[in-house]
Amino acid sequence: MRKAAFLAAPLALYLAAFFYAPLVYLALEGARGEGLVSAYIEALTRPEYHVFYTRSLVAATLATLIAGALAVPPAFYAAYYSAGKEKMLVVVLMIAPFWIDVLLRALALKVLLRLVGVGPGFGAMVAGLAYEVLPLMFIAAYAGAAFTPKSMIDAARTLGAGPLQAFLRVTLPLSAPWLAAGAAISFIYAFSDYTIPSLLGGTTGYTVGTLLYILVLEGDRWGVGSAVAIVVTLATMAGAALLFKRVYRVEAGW
Amino acid sequence: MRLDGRLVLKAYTYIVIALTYAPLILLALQSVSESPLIGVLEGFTLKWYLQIPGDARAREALLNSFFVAILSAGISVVLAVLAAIAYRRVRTVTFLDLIIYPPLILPDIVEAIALLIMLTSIKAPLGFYSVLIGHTAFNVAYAYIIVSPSLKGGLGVEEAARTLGASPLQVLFKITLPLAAPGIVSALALTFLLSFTDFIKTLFTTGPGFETLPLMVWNRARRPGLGEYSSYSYLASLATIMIASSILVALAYTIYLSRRGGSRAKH
Repeated sequence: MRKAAFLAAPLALYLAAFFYAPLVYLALEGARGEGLVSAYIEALTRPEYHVFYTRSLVAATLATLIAGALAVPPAFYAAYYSAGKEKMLVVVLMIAPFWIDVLLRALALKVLLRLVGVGPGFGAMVAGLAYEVLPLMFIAAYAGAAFTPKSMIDAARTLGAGPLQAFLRVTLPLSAPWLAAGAAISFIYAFSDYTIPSLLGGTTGYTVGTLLYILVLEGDRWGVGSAVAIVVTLATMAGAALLFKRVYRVEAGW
Repeated sequence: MRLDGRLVLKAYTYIVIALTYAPLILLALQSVSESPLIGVLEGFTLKWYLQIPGDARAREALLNSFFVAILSAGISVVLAVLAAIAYRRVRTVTFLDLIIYPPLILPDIVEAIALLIMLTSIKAPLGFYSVLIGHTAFNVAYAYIIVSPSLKGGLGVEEAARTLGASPLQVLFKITLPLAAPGIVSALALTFLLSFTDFIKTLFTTGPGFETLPLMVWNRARRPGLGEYSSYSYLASLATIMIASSILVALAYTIYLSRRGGSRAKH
């Protein structure tokens, strides 16, 4: 056990120094100069900022719903109705874009949107955000479906439920927690993203990510910027906690 | 006529997959289009790709990206392998499992701003090292997740080797590491690409004069023009190279993963 601690120490120390320590600095930043409370009050109440929040809220909600509608049926198809090579193909193809940086996916989507006559603007931005979080939604939905045994659906069918009824009353409720966790994380990514709004948002690209960019990189208002970032962090942690509680409960045997 | 639910689901699935890959294919077509204008796909030319070597700013950015990525991949995989060796016999949730996931989940913009604030507070210079430190903070987490299952596989074989008289170092270099090699190579390739193509973390943690390839592409893509190195088709050629490398590595890794998962399920 001592050897274990020794070998794992460099990694743990690295994360402590360059991931966790910065978060402490982030949390304390508002306390310098402007005062912690006033930074949060300004972040939450200043009317100019509300445009950014509302726009991000609407865009991220729409993007999450669209990504959910696009990701859930393929996840169920992969989990229940395909096997062998085909199953692997669907899963691999749906997850692979997760590894392509959002900047590159945004540049690619810009070409498609131009071809169908959609210029930068709110619609393009929502499409971009949905494109960004699609692999995440798929992973969550697929994990949820994979943990719902097919035998439960078969049982419902044997007892007289139609395919739609079995889906609505067995499959969906059982994977709902997974979908909720996936949706929570997707929402936060879309809510705080800067890449997509900067390239696809046009004049409507004033979102929370843009606000952070302006406050931190252009405006030097770090206190308020860190307050906004902390709120995003807390929301992320809540969403993630939901997901991991679920994962560990399942691993522990339900 | 009765609608076959499975067929409908199958068609929907393949439409979503087509929608996912259509933009990537169109960007590749843009990069070989004669026209510099976005959305105008005509003819076939490699002239945009041939322009890359003459673009001094791109050459510098490419080298910057390359050095950050190769160092970040190396450092993060070494740290991850050490930690994974430490915890390979532990089957319960460890302390490391708890601290390793937040860097993967927290939006990179928050991570980046936090690091920027800390480095500025301690008056550390921003540039090559700050970008490297930032990339490695998410890369160590990915590297650990990828490497750690591949180090848990060979325990039985090692036991046998030790019984047959192999020394601990012999076991490490002749059994443990070769068995974990696919995982280690995957981790190196993926962390290299995550760093090489990273945009947000770099944007917030870089300093004056240090530009990576994604930063340069973004700066120009915000206002594409008709100039030699600012047209959308030229930027598409750079982006296509990065996407193609990402896709290749990601596909190789996910196929390796699902093979592994499949063969384990058969036992």
